[in-house]
Amino acid sequence: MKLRDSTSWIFKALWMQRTRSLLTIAGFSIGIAAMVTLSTLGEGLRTFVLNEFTQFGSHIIALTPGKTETFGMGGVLNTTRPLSLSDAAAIGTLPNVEAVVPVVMGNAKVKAGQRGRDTEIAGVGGAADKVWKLELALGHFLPVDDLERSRALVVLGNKLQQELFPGLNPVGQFVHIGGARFRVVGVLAEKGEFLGINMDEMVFIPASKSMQLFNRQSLMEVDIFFNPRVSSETMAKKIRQFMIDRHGFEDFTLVTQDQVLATMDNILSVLTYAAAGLGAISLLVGGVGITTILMITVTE
Amino acid sequence: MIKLISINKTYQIGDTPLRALRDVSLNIDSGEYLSVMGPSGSGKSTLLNMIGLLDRPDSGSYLFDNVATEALKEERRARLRGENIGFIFQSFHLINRLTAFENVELPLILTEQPIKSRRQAVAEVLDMVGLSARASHKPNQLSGGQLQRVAIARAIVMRPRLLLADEPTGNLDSASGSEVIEVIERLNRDGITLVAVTHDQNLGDRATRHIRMVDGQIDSDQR
Amino acid sequence: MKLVDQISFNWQIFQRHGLRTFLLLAAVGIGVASVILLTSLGEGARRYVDREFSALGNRVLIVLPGRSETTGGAPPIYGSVPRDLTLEDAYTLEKIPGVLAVAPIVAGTTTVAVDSRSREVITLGSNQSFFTVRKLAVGAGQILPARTREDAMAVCVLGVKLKRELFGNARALGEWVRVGDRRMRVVGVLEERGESLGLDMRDILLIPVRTAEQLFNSPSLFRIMLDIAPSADSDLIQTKIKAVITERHEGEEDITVISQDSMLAAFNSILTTLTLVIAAIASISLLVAGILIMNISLISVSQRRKEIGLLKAIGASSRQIRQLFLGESLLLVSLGSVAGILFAYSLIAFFSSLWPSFPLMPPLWAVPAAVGVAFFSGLTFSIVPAKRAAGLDPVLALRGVQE
Ligand SMILES: Nc1ncnc2c1ncn2[C@@H]1O[C@H](COP(=O)(O)OP(=O)(O)O)[C@@H](O)[C@H]1O
Ligand SMILES: [Mg+2]
Repeated sequence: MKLRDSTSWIFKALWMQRTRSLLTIAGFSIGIAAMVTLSTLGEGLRTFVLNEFTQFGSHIIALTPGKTETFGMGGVLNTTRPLSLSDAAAIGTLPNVEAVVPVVMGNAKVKAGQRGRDTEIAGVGGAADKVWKLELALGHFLPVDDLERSRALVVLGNKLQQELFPGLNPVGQFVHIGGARFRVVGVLAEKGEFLGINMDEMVFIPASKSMQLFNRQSLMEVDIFFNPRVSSETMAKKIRQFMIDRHGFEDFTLVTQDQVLATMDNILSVLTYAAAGLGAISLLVGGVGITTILMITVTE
Repeated sequence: MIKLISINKTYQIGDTPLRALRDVSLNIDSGEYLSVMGPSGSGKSTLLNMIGLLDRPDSGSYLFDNVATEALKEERRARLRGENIGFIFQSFHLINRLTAFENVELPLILTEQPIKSRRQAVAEVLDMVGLSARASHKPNQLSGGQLQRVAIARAIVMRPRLLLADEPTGNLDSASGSEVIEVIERLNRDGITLVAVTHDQNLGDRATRHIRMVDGQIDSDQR
Repeated sequence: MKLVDQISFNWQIFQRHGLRTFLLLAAVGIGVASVILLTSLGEGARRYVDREFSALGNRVLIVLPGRSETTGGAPPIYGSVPRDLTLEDAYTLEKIPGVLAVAPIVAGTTTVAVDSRSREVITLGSNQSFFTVRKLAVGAGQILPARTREDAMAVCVLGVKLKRELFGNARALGEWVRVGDRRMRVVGVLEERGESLGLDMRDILLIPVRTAEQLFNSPSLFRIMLDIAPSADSDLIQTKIKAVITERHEGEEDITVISQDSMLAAFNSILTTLTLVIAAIASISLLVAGILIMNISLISVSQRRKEIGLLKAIGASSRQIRQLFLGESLLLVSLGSVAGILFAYSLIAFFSSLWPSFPLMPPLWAVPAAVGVAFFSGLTFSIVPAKRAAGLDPVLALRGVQE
């Protein structure tokens, strides 16, 4: 039979039994729709999260104190193997390193006159605005100066500015954080959430001030941004060697953005497959439907 | 028992109306034996379905036991049918997946008879049609004559007062045919009212009343 | 028609169309089974978390330094605040009525070494109460001595994995280990126990809280964990804790108190929602099965026209015909559901024997819900075919004419 003939034969057969065909198609397409929708949702989530992660580029290496297998907690806990600001500053002088941002996070009350708010404090370096793509609504960001001898300056998140200085320009004003006085140099533009962290409710102060404020001996993390023409492995190897030379042995952990992405990608892919599998059950039932109808048609 | 008054029935075939029954009036008394003959398409089956409450007239009136049936609810007509009327068809209409016994039992099941009296009634009527030995056979294991006798057993298991047979011997050879005729005539002798549509002149002649239909009308009605 | 008669009538039809019936049962069964199986995954996760928490003792409060006013945001996890939460703060809480035990926790990472073997581990500084609150016990030796409440003793308790890494099969009790730049004597080894709330208790070092303060050169507590009396009013105690600390911190409320109940409730509600969503998605397959039943029923009606006509001729009413067809679907759904339930439970039994530690079990509502949806879908999609059967003109049906 020629293709055209057989196609028209099939369509005639389908048309002759259109209710049957329609219902079969309906069942099957609900299955397909379920599967497609769910896997699209999964894939969408994957893309979204990966995009969030790569928005600052993928040429980032995170350095945390302590050589521990506990992923992520290392920097937050106390450590007998501190990472210092001079470590961060020294890494900044390495070839191909474009920027270094030391990070010390904490919680404290930020006060301005009668108003106060408990919020997250990010102790960072002056390069943070460039590498994290933070935009300013007013003033400017923390200056890029000597990491170890920073001035008591602060940049407010957008929400925090509204809370503490409603309707006023806070630039040049003073706020108190944990008893110390900081001069406001800038206000961030509204940014929204990033991976569950609300940037609008943060305040940014120099890392050295943050260490004093929170009485910490060590940085929690140093984010290293490097030249995109150099591969992550090469860069990680260089930094590892450099740090071993400085500390005498490997008492730190390096995680490249590539590793983070690969892990994330794995988790999210599994999630996507699981969602697709969930939808596939309906498709399976739809398939059983087709078998049944075909079988009936054949025996008729 | 049966009183048809100016029954009309028109079927629409495409655009052209087809008058299957025209002003048919007919009285049938209890215990009568009627044969209905006539050319194909003359409305014999339509008349029989009308009497059997399977069909509704377009106009006219049908009194069954002096009850006007046209306006009755479907539910009520089904019950009248089940309790008073037995049907026999040319093509038997037995259900293939059921045994002879189960086929005969169906009307009793539909009316929720207790299982014990059901068994007894089925055994009785199967005995009456001479098929006690075939009770557990499926239709595909029975001959034409036997099939029709199972159908008769099913038709009478509810002890109806009226038996309607639409060409009951039409699919049978003459030997099986006369077996079947013998059975239904015996039922008639025992008091059941019998209306048989047939093409067979010999069979038609055996009835005590002969109706001839032509073009949806009763052409002659002789006793 | 009596129920038994109807069932046996329908059953005969199933026997007649064995393969078709089998496939329909499979469709319903797959749907029901997948709802049960998938919800039991969600429920299993919920029970797992539940069990983890209750292993901790169900009335635990956790005090974190710092406070965050971010609406709906995470609690302050960093543990770094301008004014430290101190050991003195912690011990003051012991005076609150209803508080049974207070375990101050200093947390950090250190290098633990024996000879040339060393390992970087999470190190917790605490006292005896820590064992009470976390329901921890030693497999060998003793827990931290009572004196560690105030004294910076040079003793430690090892997690089992840490012990194996450092000592192998050799005896560890009484031996000395290097912790950072100090030497400490091993007094106990924790009993074998898996992960607890994300912390691998097998790879951990426990030292006296004062020792940890010195080791990390910081008086700051990472957490305080409190065991409260079963009869105590948790909310009241939380308020009192805040009041006590605020007073000690010059009027500044700079801590966060979390109750284990509220954490558990949060987990519970997340996992329950997740389970419901999964159930709803799996139920789509039952919708598809319903459509399949409708399709087959419609075919069945047209194949059985003569039979329907005959039934009407022998006295069956439209209602009875409708019931017959609805009954057929209901019977299919019932049998399919039973098959699905059996299948699901045997798979659950199988997987439970593979992973005995995961409490795989469907939530109470799963079976009724799955069967309910199956029946709803089966019934809804049978209405049209049953109506079509009931509405057949007996005269035409007997002639086998297609309308
Ligand atoms: N349901 C129907 N639809 C259309 N035409 C019908 C229908 N039933 C019967 N007829 C027509 O009505 C006429 C009478 O039919 P019928 O009573 O079966 O004739 P007979 O049984 O005498 O051969 C025929 O012409 C037949 O084609
Ligand atoms: Mg005829």
